[in-house]
Amino acid sequence: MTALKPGLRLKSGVCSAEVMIVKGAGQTSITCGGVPMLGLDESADGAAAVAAEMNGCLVGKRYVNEDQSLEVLCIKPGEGSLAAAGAPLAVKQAKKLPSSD
Amino acid sequence: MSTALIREHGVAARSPPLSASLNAVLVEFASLPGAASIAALEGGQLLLERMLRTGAKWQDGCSPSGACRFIGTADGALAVNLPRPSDWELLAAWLEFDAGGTWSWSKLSRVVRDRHTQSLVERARLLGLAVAAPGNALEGCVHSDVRNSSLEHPPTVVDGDPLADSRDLKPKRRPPLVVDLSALWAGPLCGHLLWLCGGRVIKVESTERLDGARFGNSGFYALLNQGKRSLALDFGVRDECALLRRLVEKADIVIESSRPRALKQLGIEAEEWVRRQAGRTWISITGYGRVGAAADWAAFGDDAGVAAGLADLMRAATGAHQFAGDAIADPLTGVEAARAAWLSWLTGGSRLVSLSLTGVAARMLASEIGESGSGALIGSARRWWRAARLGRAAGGVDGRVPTAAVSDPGADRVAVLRELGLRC
Repeated sequence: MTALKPGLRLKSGVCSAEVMIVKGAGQTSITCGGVPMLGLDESADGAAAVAAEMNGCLVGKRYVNEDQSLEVLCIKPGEGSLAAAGAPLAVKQAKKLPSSD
Repeated sequence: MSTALIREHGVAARSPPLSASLNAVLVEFASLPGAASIAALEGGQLLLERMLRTGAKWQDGCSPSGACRFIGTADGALAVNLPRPSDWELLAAWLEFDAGGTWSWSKLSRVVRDRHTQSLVERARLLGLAVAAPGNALEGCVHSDVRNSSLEHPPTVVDGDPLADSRDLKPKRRPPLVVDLSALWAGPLCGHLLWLCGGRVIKVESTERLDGARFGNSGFYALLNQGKRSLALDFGVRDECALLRRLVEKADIVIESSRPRALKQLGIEAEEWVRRQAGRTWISITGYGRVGAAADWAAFGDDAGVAAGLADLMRAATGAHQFAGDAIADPLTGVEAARAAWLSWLTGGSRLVSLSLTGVAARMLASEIGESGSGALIGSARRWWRAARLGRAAGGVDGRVPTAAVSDPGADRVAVLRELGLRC
């Protein structure tokens, strides 16, 4: 279980992926490749990835849970898929371009 | 760009910063075969073209668009650019601070003022936020982030022969086919200038994410996108993505303003495209170049101008950090990109040309400091800012008027695909 807080960074225990929490509160378990994600100063305990949860995550994409109460941004890509509380996270729709810059 | 050209084409006392450099680029561009129509353009006019349309005013510490502002930090200042609604959603993560609902500029200022600039910049970059710290450009110390991102000689030919102007260039017998994948200002301006030179320009947009400028000032959009034929493709659908790749194959010149990873995810790689067939030119417009971690940093025209050192010039001139133009790095880069594209087309192509918004603006600033000296530059920026604050920023410059039609998204699909022999 991880205490969610915007700005918290987590790394995968099974691949190179890294995410930052954009939105979320309370406690939940965030996994990558089926294995709980770790704080930046934690080290992996050698748990094996779940093959069915190795479909990758793309850097720069935002991922959300079903009711969009949780949102994470992928800041380093990896081979694992992201999930929270046992349910896969889905790519949020593309960010709109600004009308001017 | 030669310093003699800056002197010769120097502009009136109240011209905006860097308009002399931009004029010098325009003069070199217009001297190339087939580019005579560029001679009618003027640097100050192109720099302020959007403001002439929107009627935006100059304000202390705030960009004319209103999206970028200077905020004081514990150890300096930061230009924070938040043009997308989604940027505001990232502020809690950026600052690790729950604002308890909605963010405002004043709330943001209160949180940022206790933080250190460098760590704010680093976290913002992870999140894809466009922020930039002013530096000490007038002492010749442009921030190393900018120096490393191809400051030395933008436009940088990443792949192919160096771009060299020669006096005996021959005009081409046919116009180039230009595929313009870019959005907003710099890239579309590049495509527009190539259209003025007779290029056949096809604008390609994602149906999921049309060019945001379509929803901004319509007259300004028309100016930069007139005469371009439009294709809108759903990049999420396999067949449409394949069509995009086949379309790009047909181009003599591709213009894009995405981070390199974005097109890679669609199966298009600039380096490989340039090598696969001789004679083609790829124009890559980025915030900080294509190399290393900087390839992923986001930038828009206003914050790029700050990263390039223009806020340092304005502070020396006015006593406070100010924006030296309206998204200034955009028009500077658009013109420089078009000149590079046209020159590459005339000289046989086979080049990947990288232009970073920050690199182009930093180089133009450095060449003006070298030519006029920082004292004269500061004096002229001060006179311009005083006039600008009184609403005379354009100095009597008239806006241009579009002369050709603007296509709705996807309007020319059937005609373009038939003409290029691509089945849909």
